[in-house]
Amino acid sequence: MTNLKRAALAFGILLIGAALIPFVGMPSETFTWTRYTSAYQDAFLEINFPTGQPGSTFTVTGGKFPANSQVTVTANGFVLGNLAADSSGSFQFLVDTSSAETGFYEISASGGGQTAATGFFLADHAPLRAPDTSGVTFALPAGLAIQTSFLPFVPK
Amino acid sequence: MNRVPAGLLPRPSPVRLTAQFWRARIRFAGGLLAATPWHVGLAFLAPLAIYILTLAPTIYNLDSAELTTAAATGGLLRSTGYPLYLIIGRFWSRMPLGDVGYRMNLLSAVMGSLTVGGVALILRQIHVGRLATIAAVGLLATAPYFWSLSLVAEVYTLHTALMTSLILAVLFWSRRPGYQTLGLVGLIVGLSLSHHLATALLVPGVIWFLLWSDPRRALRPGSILAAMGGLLLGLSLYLYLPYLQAASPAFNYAGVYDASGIFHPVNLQTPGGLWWLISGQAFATQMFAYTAGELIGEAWWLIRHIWRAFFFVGLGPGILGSLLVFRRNRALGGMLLLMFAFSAGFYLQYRVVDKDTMFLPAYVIWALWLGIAFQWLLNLLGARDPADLKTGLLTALKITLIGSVLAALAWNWKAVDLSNDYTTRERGEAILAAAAPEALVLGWWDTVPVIQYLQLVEGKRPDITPMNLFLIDRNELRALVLAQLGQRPIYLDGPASEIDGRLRGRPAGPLFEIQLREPDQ
Repeated sequence: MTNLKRAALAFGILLIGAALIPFVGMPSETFTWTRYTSAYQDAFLEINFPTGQPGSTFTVTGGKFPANSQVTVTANGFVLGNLAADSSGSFQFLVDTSSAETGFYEISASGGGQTAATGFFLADHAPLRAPDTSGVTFALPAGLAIQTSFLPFVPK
Repeated sequence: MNRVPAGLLPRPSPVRLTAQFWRARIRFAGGLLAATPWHVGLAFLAPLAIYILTLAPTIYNLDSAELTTAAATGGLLRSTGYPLYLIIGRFWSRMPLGDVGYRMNLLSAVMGSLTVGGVALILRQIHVGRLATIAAVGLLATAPYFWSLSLVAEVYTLHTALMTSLILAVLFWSRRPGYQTLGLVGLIVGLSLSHHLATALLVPGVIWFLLWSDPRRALRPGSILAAMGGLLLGLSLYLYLPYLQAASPAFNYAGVYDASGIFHPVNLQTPGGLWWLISGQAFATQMFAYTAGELIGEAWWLIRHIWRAFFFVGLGPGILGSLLVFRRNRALGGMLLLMFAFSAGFYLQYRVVDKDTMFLPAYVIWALWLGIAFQWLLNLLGARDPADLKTGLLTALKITLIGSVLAALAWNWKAVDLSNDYTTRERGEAILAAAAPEALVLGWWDTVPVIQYLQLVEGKRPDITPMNLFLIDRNELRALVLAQLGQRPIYLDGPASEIDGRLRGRPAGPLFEIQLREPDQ
């Protein structure tokens, strides 16, 4: 075998892994314990009441998001605003429904690659929920409600 | 010359005898040290220096907090018990260096360095040259997961250190096949099993080596007896676990809580109880949990994992090395192949979120293959005449090998460096600061073990009751929370509504204080 063939073989074997770079990518993630916390609990959103009268203020609590991540809050896909999770990945905000009409609202929060959702119904017959804390408040605009209707149940 | 009869000679004092005993051993160790080639010493010291520079400075989270607290306080771990780790940790945690969390992190660094040194020693035994060895162990030491798991209290690097000892013992037996050397192999298997049951994945390879090398000697009744004797001696360390339980340790992860919050330890002083802990039945549902289609995806994941581990230059040579050693030495080649196949294969099908931390034994085998392949490549371009073109190509190859190690060191340093990571301690202290007196704190591995460390090792907030949700059934948890709500503050690290729809959480520091939702009117 000529010298060049030997060299080609040697460097070919050594650098064959480079062919996988487009498929694999160089390691770039950090190796901290926070990588595994989603194993025990995914990011979540929790709301204080599932129902309320239009004009109510709901408190939404978020947890297990990446620490200090910027979180975008939406209602039925409409962006209400942003806030920052704290160093534990937790946050809390209020949703003011003074301008909103009856119907279903899905509240979603996305940040740091995590997403969580919760929801509530606005109904005229439900209690009026007063704010039970203070903090970042997002006003729900009109025209977002998802109207639900129920088919009558007719026994045979 | 007339000799004085031995019976008339003054008997040396016990102090003198002891001094002579230790002088002889120090001289022997010194001799061994002097005989150790410099590159093997470098293979131990260089990674140790790097690991100390990047070591987590204090208590670390998840398994690290559990392992540190159990070792330091004489506590009990979850399955499979890890008695050897607990014994070593009990002494190691007492050294006068940093806090207890730092000391146990340092243990992982020393074991990781011993592993790298052990791999260098194995490569020397199979006549791999210095440069090829340095390149191979350099890539192993700087592999991201190997490096990161050498920086925190964990079980993996002790397991790999024992693994390299086992391979060295097996090679030693092949040079001096006898009862004593086979007994040593059995002892190391036993000790390793008393640390991590994954040692069982290495045994088929060891058996292959013994039977392929010298089946007649290996299968002698005396040999089998010696091996079994060593094995049982090593396994006897599991008796440490019932001994620990007899002292009713404050830290105990071998049991469950009931709806009253009372902990019921598994009785490790019965064979059934001890077997329950050792056999890892708590994790049985995660084993063989993939479909055939999913396993193909996991296999591709493993290839990418190895690629990333050895900084892309390790893939081709690793495969080449496995073929070369199998061709030249069926005993050794078969042993390494079987060890890799069983280790990688088992964890491939193990459905846990942190399985990427469990391939260190496979890395050790891959590093051995790398050393063999690198030496073959160097021989391929070997040249003596400086005027020969091959000399230039050989130099280029050498530069590429060493350059890869340095590049891996530089690339991975930032990703794995934990030298300024106090996040676990900060989280634990923030929880203790936010929790009201006599609180019940419920949480998972990222919450409870660090609280227990701060309580039991550093004596902080003994009034709080931490409870790991891994140790309580969902129904019992619900009953416990509903019974104790209103009587004491209860905190949770997740959504309270998952326990019961009538509950909600109010942010309280890193946790959520559980409250009863106001009823609809």
